[in-house]
Amino acid sequence: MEVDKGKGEAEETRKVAEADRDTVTLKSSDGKLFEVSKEAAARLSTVLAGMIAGGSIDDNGTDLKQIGSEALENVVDYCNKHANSIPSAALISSSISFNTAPFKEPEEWERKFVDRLSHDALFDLVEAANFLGMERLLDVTCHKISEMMKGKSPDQIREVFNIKNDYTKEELEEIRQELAWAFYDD
Amino acid sequence: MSSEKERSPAGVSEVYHEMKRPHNLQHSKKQRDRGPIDRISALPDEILLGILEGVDAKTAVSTSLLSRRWRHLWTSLHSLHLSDVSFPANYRSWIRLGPMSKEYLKSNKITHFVPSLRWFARRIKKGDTDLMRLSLVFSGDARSAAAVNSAVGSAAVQGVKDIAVAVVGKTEYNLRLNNCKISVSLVFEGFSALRTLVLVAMRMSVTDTEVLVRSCRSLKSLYLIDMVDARVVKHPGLEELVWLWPHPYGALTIDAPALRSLDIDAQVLAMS
Repeated sequence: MEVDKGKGEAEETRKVAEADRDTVTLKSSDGKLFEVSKEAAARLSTVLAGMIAGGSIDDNGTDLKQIGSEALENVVDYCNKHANSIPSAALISSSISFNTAPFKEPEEWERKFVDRLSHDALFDLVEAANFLGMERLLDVTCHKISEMMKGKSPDQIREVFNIKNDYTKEELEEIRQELAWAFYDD
Repeated sequence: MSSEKERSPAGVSEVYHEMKRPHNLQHSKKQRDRGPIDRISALPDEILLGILEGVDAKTAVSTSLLSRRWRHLWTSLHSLHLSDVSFPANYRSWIRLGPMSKEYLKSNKITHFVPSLRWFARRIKKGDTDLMRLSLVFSGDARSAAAVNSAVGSAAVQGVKDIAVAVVGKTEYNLRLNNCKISVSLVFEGFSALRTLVLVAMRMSVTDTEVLVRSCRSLKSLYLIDMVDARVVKHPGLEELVWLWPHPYGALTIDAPALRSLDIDAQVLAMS
């Protein structure tokens, strides 16, 4: 009885300590542990915010089985950088600028952050951001992919993204005629 | 027989080795064996649409040709961006860069602009669209004005709520802009549907600018960039005003009771 009581108290203490911590520990599919600012994680990820609010954060590393260590490292890196960054005056005013897309312009550091990623790492990060409900990171990574597509011909896009053309010759011709203006050479 | 024996242990050890690999590394080895894989087509539709909303209409529409996966994707887009001129890579913030030089406009003129507007107007008239946002950039070329008018007008009729038009141009285009100015301020009924209007380096008199702004009854955002003659902005519903000019002189009058954001700056950055 006494032992049980002691254990219960220890658990209580641990839970209190956990609630006081300002970081959370995340565990990748391959078992690596990463620490991330609790505030930033809750602000940037709807899924992590839900887990933190619901108390399902494990002190020894919350399992994220769908995310590999490389992608999780990038996610954590992004959250921690975000926690330290103060929105610049330029961003505040450009947030209401003549945008062509529904999302806001990435900041300089966010641009650099995605620019250094390899092709696979970029897509791993898109999938991780989607899984974790990280709208801002999804915007930033998708913005990068849009830039990779912009102004390119279908052939060039296929090459960049390794897309296999599964149309017949006749189908291709049909689409070309339907949308003739889009295939003018500038 | 002997070759069979030699191969078998090697095979076993390789399987063992594979099993010890962390899951994601195993994955990437498989990828390498099969050659580069198509990551983008595996993304869910809503993410691909987010990506397509970040590109110009021509690029978005031409993804139809990539593969069957892409054939009809763009038709679910909520926003389309049609332009008379192609922009530098960071074009989402181009508007703060100030007027484009005539060399830039000339060498980056998009020839399919008018056909794309006509196609758009035909398509939107059919009414089967999820479109909520249309943005148009045109150089003020009078030859495009009628097509712009018809595209914006059709979009407004079909209930596209968020319509933005930017008119850009400089020096050599002045004469055309003058022509265009007449057609836009008097004939351009589409302006009443605009939420955002951007005017860059157009030679318009104080009165013309006032008439134009007043005729944009739904206007929420107005950008006046390098508009040397504009002095007065008067609009009951205007919420955002960005007024950038290189050589400020004289007094400005702003009468906009709904204004929430004001950005007046004498620093127009030069476009490289």
